[in-house]
Amino acid sequence: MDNYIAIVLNDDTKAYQALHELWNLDTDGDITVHGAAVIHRDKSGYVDVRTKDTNPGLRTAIGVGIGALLGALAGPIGAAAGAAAAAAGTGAAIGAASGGVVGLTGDIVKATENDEAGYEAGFVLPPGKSAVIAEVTEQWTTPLDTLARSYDTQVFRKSKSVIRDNAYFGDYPLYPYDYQPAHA
Amino acid sequence: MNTNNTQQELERARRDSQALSKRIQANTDKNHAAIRAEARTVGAEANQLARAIKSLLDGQAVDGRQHLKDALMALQALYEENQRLADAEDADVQAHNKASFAHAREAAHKVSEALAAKRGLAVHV
Repeated sequence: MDNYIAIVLNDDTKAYQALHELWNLDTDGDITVHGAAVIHRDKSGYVDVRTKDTNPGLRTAIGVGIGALLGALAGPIGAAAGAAAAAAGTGAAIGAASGGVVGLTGDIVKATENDEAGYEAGFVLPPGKSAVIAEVTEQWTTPLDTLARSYDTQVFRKSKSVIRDNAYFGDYPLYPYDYQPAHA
Repeated sequence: MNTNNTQQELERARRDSQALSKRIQANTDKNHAAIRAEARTVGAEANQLARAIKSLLDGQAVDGRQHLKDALMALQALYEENQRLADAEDADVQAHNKASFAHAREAAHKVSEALAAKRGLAVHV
């Protein structure tokens, strides 16, 4: 199964720990991680990507890509006001939609997914929380579910097959290697 | 080459492609002269990595082989981007470096997908 996943955590420190544990699962061969990133939503609702980048051009592009990916994870239920805010995002910050979710329009998801999403709880990143987001291949869900449970949280999954194309994300927003974010 | 060896070679190729993309990303913080100076080295490493990946094509199933072919295309684009970067004007250096990063990340992503395909086969045999 090729999935985009999100794990919401209480703070950056726990998110960084979870990021490293995610890559450890890859090293052990339990899953394959294709890319991952840590994001944080501040009290004002803005989301930024924890990264070592300092170049504004790179940050803006990554921010837009992250916005699209979060919209895909959230699904049509939560994907409303994020598009314009994400597109207008500057620096490391992108806009966050009201209601606690971030994303783009439902166009990012296939029509069939619109129906499916009506029965699903979407990914929500509340203010003050951090999250690990990643693209993974997993033969079974136990390794990631166990990781999430150890942090008293859960894994949000969205099948890659129902998201049309990585091109929707512009520049691919996830890092293909384990990294230590600058804000750690 | 047996399945375990092929998987190990794929894991090594992914580590190398990850290291290459990390190195290019680190260039973002350097001055233009330093980025240009490193461009030909990055291009040479991309070629070396491409040769290693090409040698792995025969050991893959259909989907894994396609992922590796996609990685080779990304590495070719990375090489060409760095040829241009080596001679770029200051105003264009960051744009070329950003494009290089995107190609390197694409290569790492494709090798990772090939590795996932190989690991999946290992689970099912």
